[in-house]
Amino acid sequence: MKLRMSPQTVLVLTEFLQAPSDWKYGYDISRATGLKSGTLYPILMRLADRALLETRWEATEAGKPPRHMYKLTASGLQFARQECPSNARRSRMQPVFSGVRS
Amino acid sequence: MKIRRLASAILTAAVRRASPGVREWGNAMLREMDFVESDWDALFWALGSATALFKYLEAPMSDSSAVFSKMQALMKKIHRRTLGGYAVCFMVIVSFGSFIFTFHNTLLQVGSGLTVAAGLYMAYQVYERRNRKLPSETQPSTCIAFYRTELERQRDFHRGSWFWSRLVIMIPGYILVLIGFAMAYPESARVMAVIGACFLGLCVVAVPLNLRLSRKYQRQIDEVDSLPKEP
Repeated sequence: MKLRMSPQTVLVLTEFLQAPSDWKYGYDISRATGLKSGTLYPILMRLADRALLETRWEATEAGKPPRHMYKLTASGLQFARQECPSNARRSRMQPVFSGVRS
Repeated sequence: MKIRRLASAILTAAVRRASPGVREWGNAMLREMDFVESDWDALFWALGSATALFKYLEAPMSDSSAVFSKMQALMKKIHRRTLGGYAVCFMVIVSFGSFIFTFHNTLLQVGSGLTVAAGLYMAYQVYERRNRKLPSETQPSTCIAFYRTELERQRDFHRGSWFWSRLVIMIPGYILVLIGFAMAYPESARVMAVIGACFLGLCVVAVPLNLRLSRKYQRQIDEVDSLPKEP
């Protein structure tokens, strides 16, 4: 099924294109794109459903639950490069959340 | 700190109620919330995440095997709406029906009568669009046909003559009741005016909400139509 290319989806794909080989956390993507969790996660889910996004759990400190990480698959990367205009890769929205809690 | 606990409680509850296929994502959102610095931001994160989990119940179908669970979810939703609709109609009919005998103002009685008639009409609409029995066959083609028909019925409930007649029939009776009440009890005229304005405001809001719902059903119909055909 075709993925609906909303401006928000373009933003997310653009964020992944900044460093295609890096795994990214949901909160970091949210800060970088300015998308709220209610917008960001449905996009990530749809990308994962279409095998455009790879996910994995990363074990962090002992006793703490793991974190979910995301990276574009090879087909996702190809799709993102096709669908995201190059000027969108430079324009970013203001972050929604102010900082990171360690 | 209380706000963060509230945020955590909201999201934990949403994850617990999420469908199994999406629970992993819910846990991911829950874990990410630990990294949100401000408590208020954490609360907004939780609310957004809970909304996303809720939305996933309406998530796109990848193949025809998902139709059966979608169909069950739709029927449950319609069942709840039917019961809620009956309850509202019952209350409207009983309360406005009692006004006919309680008050002796003609306008109020006529308005109450019209409102009762509107309540009966709404009850008829709810009955006509009630949930149907699920098909006994679980073959994908049967399920898809049933699901599509149901989606069409629900789409039409929220648009066109079904929706507009439901909305229009409710207004005159209720407004007459308010005018009648204001005439019978002049001291309450201002309150009646406010109630009338709120009622008309609700009617106005109901238009985009219903049309949005009908568009949502149409999108689901389009999704069904785009499913790969069974060989």
